[in-house]
This record gives sequence, structure tokens and C-alpha cells, in this order.
Amino acid sequence: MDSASSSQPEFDYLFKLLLIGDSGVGKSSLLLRFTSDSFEDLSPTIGVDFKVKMVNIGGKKLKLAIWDTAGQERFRTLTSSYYRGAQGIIMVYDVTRRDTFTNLSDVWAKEIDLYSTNQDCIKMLVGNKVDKESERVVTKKEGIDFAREYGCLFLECSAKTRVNVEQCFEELVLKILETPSLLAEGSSGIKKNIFKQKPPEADASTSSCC
Amino acid sequence: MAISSSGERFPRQRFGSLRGVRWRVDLGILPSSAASIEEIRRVAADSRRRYASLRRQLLIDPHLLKDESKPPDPIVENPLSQNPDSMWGRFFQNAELEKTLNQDLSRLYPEEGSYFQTAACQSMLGRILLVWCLKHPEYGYRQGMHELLAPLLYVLHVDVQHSSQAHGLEEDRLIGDYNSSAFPERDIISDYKSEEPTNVRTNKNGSSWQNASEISSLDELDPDTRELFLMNDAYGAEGELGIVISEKFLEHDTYCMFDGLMNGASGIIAIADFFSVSLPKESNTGLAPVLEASEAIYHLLSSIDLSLYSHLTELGVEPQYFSLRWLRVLFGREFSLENLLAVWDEIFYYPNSTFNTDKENRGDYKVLSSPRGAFIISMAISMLLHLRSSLLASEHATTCLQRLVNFPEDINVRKLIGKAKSLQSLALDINFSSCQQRTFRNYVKGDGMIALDHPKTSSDYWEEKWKVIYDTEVLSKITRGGSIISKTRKGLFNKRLLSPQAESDADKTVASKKKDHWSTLRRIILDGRNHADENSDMPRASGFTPSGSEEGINCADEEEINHDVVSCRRSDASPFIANYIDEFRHVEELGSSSIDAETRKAFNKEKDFKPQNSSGNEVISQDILSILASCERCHSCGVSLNPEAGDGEVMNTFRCLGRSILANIQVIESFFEQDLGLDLVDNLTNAASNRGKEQEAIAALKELRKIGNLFSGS
Repeated sequence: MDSASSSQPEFDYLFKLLLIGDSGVGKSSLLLRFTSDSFEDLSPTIGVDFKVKMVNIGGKKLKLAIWDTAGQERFRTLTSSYYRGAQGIIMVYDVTRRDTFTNLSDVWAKEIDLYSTNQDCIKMLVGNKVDKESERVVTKKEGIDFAREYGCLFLECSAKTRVNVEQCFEELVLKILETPSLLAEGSSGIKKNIFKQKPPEADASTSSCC
Repeated sequence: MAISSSGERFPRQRFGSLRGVRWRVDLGILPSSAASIEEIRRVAADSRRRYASLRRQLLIDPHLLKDESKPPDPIVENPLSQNPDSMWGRFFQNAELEKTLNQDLSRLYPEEGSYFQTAACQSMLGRILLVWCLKHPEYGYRQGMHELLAPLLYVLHVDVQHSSQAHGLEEDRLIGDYNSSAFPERDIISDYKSEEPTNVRTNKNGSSWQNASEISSLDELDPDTRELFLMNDAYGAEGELGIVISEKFLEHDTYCMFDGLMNGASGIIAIADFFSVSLPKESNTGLAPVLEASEAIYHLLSSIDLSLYSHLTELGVEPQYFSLRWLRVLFGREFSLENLLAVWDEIFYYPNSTFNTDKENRGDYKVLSSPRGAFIISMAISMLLHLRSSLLASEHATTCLQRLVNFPEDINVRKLIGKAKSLQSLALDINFSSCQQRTFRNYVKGDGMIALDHPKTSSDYWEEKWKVIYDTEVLSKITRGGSIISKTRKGLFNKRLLSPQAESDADKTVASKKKDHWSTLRRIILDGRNHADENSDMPRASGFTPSGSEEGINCADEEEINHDVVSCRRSDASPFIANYIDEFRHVEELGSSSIDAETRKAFNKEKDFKPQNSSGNEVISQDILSILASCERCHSCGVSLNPEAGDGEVMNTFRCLGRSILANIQVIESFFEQDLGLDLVDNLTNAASNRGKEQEAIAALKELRKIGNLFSGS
């Protein structure tokens, strides 16, 4: 139908990743560091922001579609749809603000359980702002414990100093690549709507796993 | 629904150079511009009193209440009290809110922070937001509110600077006037002056009272300066409190404007609603206001550019993903401050009331029932159309969304506004007709999101509009004994496909010529909104998108469309486009759209049509507006294309034609922008999308040519 589809696909897999967490924990900064390796003062996100990055991870050409949500948004009808079709979810908290950590179990983990459309979706816990070591109130051990209990990956990072930022996304994506059901979803054969969950017939010919 | 005049309206309007004053009038803070200066001053003073008392009442500092006559109950009123209603409880709540506010305010316009980051400005903004949020606990503070507030303060600040400059210039010359007998209350003034040594006049190096003046009376000043003087005279009505443009009351005035914007001054659009998640009582769609407005964007888009609409919906790009931000901060994130002020000028200019007092007949979208709301939605459409080609070239939702929330900086905001204006009356129209016909069907999608069935509504609407024209047409043909309709669709279709050039002469009867005429017209109407393509072997991007639902009536249209597509495909695109580019440039030089020379001559008779040097495409859209205006006149002079049809229908047809011209020009423009490398399309998709766009541009040019032919009657 489209002229582009006949040519070589520009990537092997397309993954949708979602960033969630309280306002001001540094979701947008983390993403900015990852996508354009810079750090600056950012205005609070309104609604949701979008970034696309091409990466080579695990020998695959990947297109990452990253949705950066507003921490303050409590508009359920709206936020629920952000989760649709995400293969990876990054929960971010600020190691210098305890409330942002406690809200993970009180608010954000519940949101994922409620709205995530994919059972196999990979979750990752990220404690940001480790550059402010002197102001730290949430210990690394607390983070590890939460991650173990909730069954998700865990890293501490700093968008400001770029410590561990790349690794956050890399580890998450590697885990997605290990999960066949997610791979099938992200296969480049599915050109169009990655958010509609219906499996298109055209998919069978291009997808490697079925 | 007159097409409003272009951007020059503001200088002619009262307070043309004072944006802040104009906005205060538009937002309902100051009385309408016909009011006397005295009245304006009284209203300004009242609004400031209201804020002052509100601030006193809401911003409590328990430390300051010690010496009040009635001592507070120490059991309730102590800092450790758990009672949230206690003075201290409220104090701590406020402190919490303040912390949140300050966190966001410190991030306000980080890139051009000079003005907004000053301590004075930050604390002023903080107080205003705090008072507003405490006054409206049902909304509270939501991120983005501060960005609605900041530009308001900014324009008032600019007004103050402007008027103090003007004041400085004229004051010395005018001083004598105040000493003259024109002011009988002079003695009172003198008394006042001795009590209040800080007033404006004595600040002027003291000696000014004795200055000889060149101007003996206020009447000798030009009206604007005179008005400015009277507005800012510390001795006018209400004294200092009534000084309309006053640095002292920046905070008060900003609050009032913000409140007027958020609450909509009892009009239709209250921006605060865009932050609210609750359902309004009077909603026809059952959606929260911001979602309803988002749906309205797609609803309008589906009527204007169905191919873009289908592309976005196919990819799963829901409107609220991008429009939430557009609407909440009224495009504040999408434009530079300077451009934003120009956009807000227009938004506030349009009245926020509805012509329809009957709530039942407001249409399905509340937002579209007021001119202001309709303009906001039209602005969103204009922005979508600006990104049209890059959106159509994007194959993934996130890529589209990334473009939508990173609106290009190097835009011609006047052009965007101009387009929005031309769409605005359509927006009002569509809403009204949809409520008349009630063809709306709400349904609940699987995921629980309520969505609206857009295309149904619009196609019904347009179908209805068309039928009136068409029925008249058929009637006239039948009486002449023509039987074009009896021709089988398939036969014609194939014939054209095989030999596109061999247009059968037999077709060129008088009757069929007339039918062609109208079918072309109709197709243009349909193409104007780019009807969905159900014929899958046609490239969607081509813009030729007949609707399957109209089978049977428009057989001739479809074959012609297919013919176009075939010739597009067969020809090698490059010499083709070179031709067209030349033609387009030529047309640009002439400063009009591709309406051909003959037609232009005809228009020139009606209207003095100045050939303008092409300084961009803005000129063209302006010209099209004037062409449309000329068409109206043409018609009223009896040069009607179809005397049988009612006036309204003909006017609608012209409007559709005009929109179609605009839409086609948009396609070509975007192609050229792309060509110049202004468009940030991923390198990888570039080659593929370029080809599509070339075709789009060719198609659009063809359309323009046809419209030209149509007008010239050939």
C-alpha cells in the first residue's frame, strides 16, 4: 500500500516505552539525557511528551518510541490509554524525596496493574538524582527491596551526570528482546497502529516467531 | 458568518497599541470599548478592590493575627492543631501548595527567563496562583496554569512601560493644562497632593508645575495619547486606584485577567475546565471538557481533511495526546512568546458567548458553539494542516505525536492565524448543523473510552448539503431529456482507464458539459475534505479520495479521478513537477492562486485586485479570501453559476471551493518547504515520503487548475 513498506525496513523492532512517576523526579530530564545527551532546566510536562530514538542493542536495530508522562496528571480516562501497547515501563523516583518513592507503591504500581494491557510488559524501577548524594533519603537497599518485591529491574542513575542513564534503557530493552511475546508485538512487520491489539493477518508473513 | 478582516484590525480598534487594556476588555474585566474613561476607571478600581480583599481573606499569616481584638481559641488555633480548618492547618496547607507552585514557577520559561525569573515576578505570580487556587478549590493547582498566567502579566508589564514612556513624552507639555481653569477641583488636588507625596506628578522632578506648556489643552493631543492620559491620570475617577495602566496594581490586574480567562467571564469557554476531569452538567457528548474539545478537533478535521484524519486515527493517534497540552496552555508551549501573544490576540478578540441561547441547540460540541471556542479549535486544525505532509509521511503514532508536540519554531504565525480564521466559520457551521441533524452516535469502544463517530456526521452533513444542489441539477437535466445518469459506471470507468486521453466526443453534449461542470464542483467539495479512500489501489496521499458511500450519483466523478491518478502514475514525475513548479512560481508572482487570467479579469471587475509581490503564501490565502468575497459579489450581481439553487447553497459551494483552494495550496506549500529542507523528516523516510509528496503537490496543482477552469467556465 505504501511505497515505504516495499523497501528495506528501517529497523527490526519498534518498542513503546513509558515513563511514569511523580512530578519533578526527572522523567523528562532522564529522557533528554538519553535521546540527546544534554541536561537543562525543563518546564513541567503537560499531558505527555514523545521522543523517538533509534538504537542498536543486542545486535538489533531498534526504534524506541518513548512516552514521557506528566507526573501530576491524575486524569484516569486519559492516562490509562498511555499504557496501551507499551512493552516497557520505567517507574522513576527521586532519591532525595521520600514521597516520590512511597507513591510508587501507593499510586504508580497500582496504575500499571490496572492499565497495562500486556501481562509480560517489562517494568523497571529507577532512582534518579544520585548526584545529590548528601540529600539522599531513599537508600539503594530500599530500592532493591521494592524491585524484588514487585518483580522489576532496578537501577540508580543521574540525568545530570549521565551516570547509568544509557544502562536504564539498555537493560530494559535487552529484557524485552528476551521476551517472545513482546518481540512479536514490536516486530517491524506491524507497520501501522501498534496500539490496536488486534493481530493483523499480514503480520504472519513477516513475524519470525509464528 | 463574515470572514473577518486581516490582522490590521487591532490598530484601528480602541486601545490598539495597548494589548493589556484590550485583553482586559476582551476578557470581560473592563467594560466594552464603547465605555467612557470614567467608567473604565471605576470598573478597574472595583476589580482591584475585589482582589485586594480576596488576598487578605485567603492568604492568612497566623503570626500577624496576635493583636486582633478577639483572641483566637488556643485549643483550635495552634501550630500543632490537627484540625485542617484551623488557621494553622490552612497555613500549612497553603505552604504545601506554595511549594508546588514555586517548584513549577522556577521552571517557567527556562529558556527566556530574564523577566519571569526575577524575584519580584516570581513572588507575584506565586501569590496570584495561590489566591486563585484557594478561591477555586474545585480546580486546585494544575501544572500549566502558571504558563497561562505568565503572558498576562507580561502584556500588562509591557503596557506599563509603554504608557510611562508616552507619559514622559507628553507630560511636560501638558502640565500647564492641569493648572488651567479646566480643572475646577484643583484646590482639592493640591490638598491631596500634600497628603500623598508619592503621586505621579510630584515624582516628576518637582519643578514640572512651573513648566510652560506648548499645548494648552488636552484636546490638542491626538486621541490615543489623550485617552492614555485620561486613563492614567492620578486625579481622575477613583484617584490612583483608577489609574488604568498602573505598575502598582499589576498583580491585581493580572489576577483579574487570569480569573477572566480561567472562568470565561460567564461565556462558553472557561479554560479552567480544560484542567478539570469531571463531567460538566450540560454536555452532549458525555466527555470531560478537554476531551470533548479534543474530539471537536478531530470532528472538524474529518470534515476538512479526511485523509489526514484517517491517517491519524489509523495510527492510533488520539487527539487528546497532543491537544491536551495545546488546549490547556492555549498553545503556550507551541509558540514563542511573541507569536503566542499574536495568537492570543485573536483568541480573545472573538466573543466567548454563543448566539444560541437554547442549550438544546448548541450543537454537540460546546466548545464550537462560541466564536472563541471555534477559533481555538480552528487554530488547532490550522496547526495540524501545517504539519500535514510530515504527518502523512510518518508511519508510527509516536513519530506523528513527536512532530505534533514539537511544533516548528520558524513558522509564519500570521499565516497560521489566517488559515484558522478562514476555518472558523466552518467550525461554527458544522457544529450547528450536526445538532440540527442529530446524526451523532456515541458508542463505547472496547477499552471503555467513549468516542464519537465523526465521519458519519460529516458525510451526512455534506451529503445533505450536496443533495440540494444536485437535486436541482438532476431536475434540470431530466427536463432536457438528458440521460447521463443511466450510463453504467463500470463501462465509463474502464474506458477511461484504457484510454485516458480519448475523451468521447459524444460526452460533450450541452447537458453533459453542464453536468461535468457540476460534478467537478461537487468533487472539489468532496476533495476539499478529502473523502476516505475505499478504493485501496489508489494512493491515499494523492488527495483524490472519492467516498464509496456516494456510489451511483457520482460515477462521472470517480472515473475522472481515476483518470487523474493513472496519468499521475504513468508520467515520470520529475518533468511534470518542474512544469508545475514554474507555473506555481508564475502564479505566485502574480499574487493570486491558480485561478486563470480570465477569471482574474472577471474578479478584477468586481474588486480592485492588486497584484502583490509574493512575499510568501500568506498573500495567496489573503487573496483567496478576497476572491471569495468577490464571488459573493459576483453572485449578487446576477453572475450566478446556478440560478436554480438557493443563495445559501451557492454560497456554501463557494466557501467549499475556497477551502479546497486553501487545502490544495497547503499541500503545495508543504512540498516546497520540504524541498527547501525546512522540514525535519527523518532521513530514512525522506526518499519515500518525498515521492508521495511530489504526487500530492501535482494533484493539488491540478485541483487548483480545475477550480480555475471552473470559475472561468471552460
